[in-house]
Amino acid sequence: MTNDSELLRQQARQQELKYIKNNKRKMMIFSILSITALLLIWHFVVTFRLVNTRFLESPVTVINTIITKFTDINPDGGYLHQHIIESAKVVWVGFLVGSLVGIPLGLFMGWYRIFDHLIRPLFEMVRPIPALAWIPIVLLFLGIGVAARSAIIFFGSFVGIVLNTYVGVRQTNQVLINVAKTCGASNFEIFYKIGIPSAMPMIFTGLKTAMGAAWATVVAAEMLSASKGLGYMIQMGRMYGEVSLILAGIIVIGIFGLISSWMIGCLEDIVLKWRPKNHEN
Amino acid sequence: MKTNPLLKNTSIGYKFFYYISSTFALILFLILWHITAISGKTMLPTPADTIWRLITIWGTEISNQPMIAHVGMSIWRIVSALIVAVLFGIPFGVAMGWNKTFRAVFKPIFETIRPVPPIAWVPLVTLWFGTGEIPRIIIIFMGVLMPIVVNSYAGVSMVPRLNIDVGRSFGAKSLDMLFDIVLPSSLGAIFAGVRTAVGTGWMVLLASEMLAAKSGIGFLIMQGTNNSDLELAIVGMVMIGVMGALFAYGFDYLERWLCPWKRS
Repeated sequence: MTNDSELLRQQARQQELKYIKNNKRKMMIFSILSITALLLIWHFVVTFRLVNTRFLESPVTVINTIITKFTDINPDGGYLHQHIIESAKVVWVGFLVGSLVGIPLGLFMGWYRIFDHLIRPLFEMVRPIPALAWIPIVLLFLGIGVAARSAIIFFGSFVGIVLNTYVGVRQTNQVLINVAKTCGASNFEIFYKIGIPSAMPMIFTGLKTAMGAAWATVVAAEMLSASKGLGYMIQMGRMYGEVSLILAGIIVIGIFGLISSWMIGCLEDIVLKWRPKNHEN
Repeated sequence: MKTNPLLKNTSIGYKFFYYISSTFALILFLILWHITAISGKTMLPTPADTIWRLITIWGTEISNQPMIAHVGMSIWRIVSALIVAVLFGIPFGVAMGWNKTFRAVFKPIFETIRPVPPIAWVPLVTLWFGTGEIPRIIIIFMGVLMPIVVNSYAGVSMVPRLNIDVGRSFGAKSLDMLFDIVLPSSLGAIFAGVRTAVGTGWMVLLASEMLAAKSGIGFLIMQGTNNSDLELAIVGMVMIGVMGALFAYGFDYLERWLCPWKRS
């Protein structure tokens, strides 16, 4: 009797798994179909001349543009890899300085009340100002160049990193703190051994958001003042009326935004090895 | 109001120091600013001059428009983009979280567009729609749409399984469950999305106004930069900060009013 019910349960479970698997496959097919449909519509709208090629080029032309741009300097005076390297350099310099300043600041502000009290008014003043609004000040002190653009990225990434780190360290489990206290740890030891590791997941959330903000900001900063970079490239595409160059730029920016956040995700997996799998998502 | 634990059983002198210390950084900042300004190496105006300009600017005209018109223009742009994005983005995100087929069709398209920063669309949108109010609002719309859709979608798909099962046991129809269970429990996440969207919105608004506009706060900052009128540029910075902070507070109040269970 118990064996029978066990068998029935197993069969039901297998059926359920099969159903889930089939469903997943169905959804996959839907997804592939929808992307293909989008590309096909895009392609045929252009090839049947439903829109002027001044306004839209077919996906094939866009991919061609991406490939030839590696060896073609026209019309903006730079190869694609030069633009990519320029943008990536600005993003990573600004982002790294932002994290090097932002993480410690957030940690100290979250852990030491007096530090919070000292810095907070100034931070609250800077916080709502979007990165781009710093352009006049940055131009004044750093002129035009990689340093200036990196400084703008710094402002774009810094605030998000500080806020997330701050929240992360504040959420440290009080039980863990009490245990450490009972074992005779000093305040700094607790901060170092419990506070910082507990804040790590939130720090990485902050870094990921900041990376997205950094790419958004770099595009705007390069459109405003630069002579290289992906933002500059798409702006030039607009000036010369080359839609394929704009679309190519948009695609490359999207890809590199993804690669950057993927790199942070990898770093997170390495640093947070101790975290149980399937923690979230 | 809870008493600050740091101030328990401490002397009056310490309390005094504690309250003074919060303004300490601000004062230091102003002093440094002032010294840099009067050293004459840069064109930085002094803090006093800037504050004076911030007060008097309301009586002057910049590019034939009073200050209030510039601020009003920026607010109008961001609010109209937000309204359109909320009206379109929340139903879209909820539909993506609620209906599997809808999700399977639209999520891949959405995920392909998502990593592109909104400002990257500026050249394409200006090429398609020219330079005017409508293209500018379209760009801001694209910027604020993403967080709203993503959060609505996440909110709906994270509704506890238990709540839905309870609804089903009580014989709720699909639509009843959507309006009585799923929407209320995802309202918090949707609101978080709108709040993120407001921050992104100011950023995109500023970029579009700095790139091409004849009015608005971003225009003021650009005007100040190009004419070496740094007082004007800093006034613009302050204004955008103040507006951003006011909007954030406004949405906090709105959330507390719409989600009374979140008041604590």
